[in-house]
Amino acid sequence: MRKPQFFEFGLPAVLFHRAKKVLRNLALKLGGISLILGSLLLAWHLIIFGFSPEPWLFPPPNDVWSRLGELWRSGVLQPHLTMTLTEILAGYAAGIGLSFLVGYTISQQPLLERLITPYLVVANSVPLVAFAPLLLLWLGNGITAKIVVTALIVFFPATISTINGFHAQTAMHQRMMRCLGAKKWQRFLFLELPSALPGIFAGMKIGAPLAVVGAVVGEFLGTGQGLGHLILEANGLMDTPQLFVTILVLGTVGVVFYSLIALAEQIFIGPWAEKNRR
Amino acid sequence: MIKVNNLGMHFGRGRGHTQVLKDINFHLAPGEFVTIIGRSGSGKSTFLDILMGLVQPSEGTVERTNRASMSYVFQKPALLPWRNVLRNVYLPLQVRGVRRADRLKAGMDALRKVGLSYAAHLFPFQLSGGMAQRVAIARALAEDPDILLMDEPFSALDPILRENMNFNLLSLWQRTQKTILFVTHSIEEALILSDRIVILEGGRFVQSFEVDIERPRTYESFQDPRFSELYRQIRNALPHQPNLPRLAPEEEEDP
Ligand SMILES: Nc1ncnc2c1ncn2[C@@H]1O[C@H](COP(=O)(O)OP(=O)(O)O)[C@@H](O)[C@H]1O
Ligand SMILES: [Mg+2]
Repeated sequence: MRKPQFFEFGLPAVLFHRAKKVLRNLALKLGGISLILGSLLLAWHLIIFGFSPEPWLFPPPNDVWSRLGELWRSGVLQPHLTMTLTEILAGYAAGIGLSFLVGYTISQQPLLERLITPYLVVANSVPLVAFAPLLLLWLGNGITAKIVVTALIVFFPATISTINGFHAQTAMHQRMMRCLGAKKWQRFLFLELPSALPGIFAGMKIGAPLAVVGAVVGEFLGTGQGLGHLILEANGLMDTPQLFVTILVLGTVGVVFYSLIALAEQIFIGPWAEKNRR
Repeated sequence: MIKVNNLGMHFGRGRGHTQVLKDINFHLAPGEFVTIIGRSGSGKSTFLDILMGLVQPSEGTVERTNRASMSYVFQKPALLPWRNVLRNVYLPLQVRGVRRADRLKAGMDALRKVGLSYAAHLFPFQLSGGMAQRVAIARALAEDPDILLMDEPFSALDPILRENMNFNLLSLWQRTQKTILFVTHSIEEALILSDRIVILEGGRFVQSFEVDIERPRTYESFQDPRFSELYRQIRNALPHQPNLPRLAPEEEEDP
């Protein structure tokens, strides 16, 4: 019999096979998305054709396209986009990273959890956006304040989700790990973390669009660069096509960001998550 | 292999105090297949947990000769759903820090012993109940333990599959020369498998039966006169419905 190789059965192999499958599904999904986008674009054209609204109220698609081209070619759009992306990514990474540490710590201490969880839920239901002016007041108008706003908005729902994730492991599996004589770090790596992944990813998916909101709200309040700033500017100049361009770019950023997280989720969490656990 | 002296176990104190095991003396010889039968809640799992070292006994001692190693098979397979079959099977070796190539080989060997090497890449949700339990047994074998503790491993399976799994386990036991301590509610299962059956009742090992049915055992063994005789004796040693008579001994044939 042929000697089995690690790359056929080990974790890299599992992830590779899953990635292949997921990408195949993705192609299908992209088809669906193009169909929907196509219909929306058609509807847009029809509205322009049917009602011929004033261009400064509702610009035709071609105006928006050419405006996007202008903004890109003149190099106006890029620095704003880069700034906003930086805020989103940094704030998201900080918020998710912190939610992981805090969520795990809380989940390990039943007393702490009973004390803190109610406040987490309350904090989560307060519109955190309302705190943004305060944060800008305290932290100044730099990028730091915007990253903190983004991180904070991402942090609370992700933490709640992470705590739930770390409670997903079953007593049966804990007992099994104990029988194997697994050390604490091994129990974490082989049981607790994988069981928590669905919860962690749920938090990351909730957090992705929130990060975009956080960054833009931060930019609304401060002055300087960023797509939020570009929106304010366009609004002030009644430049509706630029408003549309910015909204389109922000929407694309949000959708792509969310999809990347969802893709990672599908690769790291196999079909077992939905099926019966054994 | 294992020697248990005056073992006792109780949980809780005051009004919540329950004495689960008391005055248990028990010996497990190398290569032996011993089965414990007892009602639900009679303390069988607690006894295995103590042997495994998962819980400390309240009284008495457990001696293991030559640091004999043990693996535990539960009623449920307890496979990790995110690991494929092979990665589940070599988990114990990974915990012990065995090198990749070695744990892969040992994992495959263990899977071959339960006849599942073809399923190495499947995930637990793709397995039938019987396959999943065989994977759990392969996981226990991967460590190459001296002793297998098996706590009602086939209780969740349908009767025919269960019977087949019994013969599967027997041939495995004969090939690998393991020592097995098995727990079941089923007298038939105990009789077809064991060298010796002990009855756990009221926290004590109240009776012990040598199963002198010829080996290797087959489906024919169910028809063996010793089988029905032992069945009757063991059934009578277990709790009864009060308004029903006990099984009578079989009529002696006149010479
Ligand atoms: N951790 C525990 N705390 C309190 N009582 C327990 C505990 N574990 C088991 N018991 C009690 O010990 C008795 C025996 O349980 P168990 O060993 O699981 O029985 P069996 O496996 O024979 O069905 C039961 O009455 C159960 O309630
Ligand atoms: Mg039990």
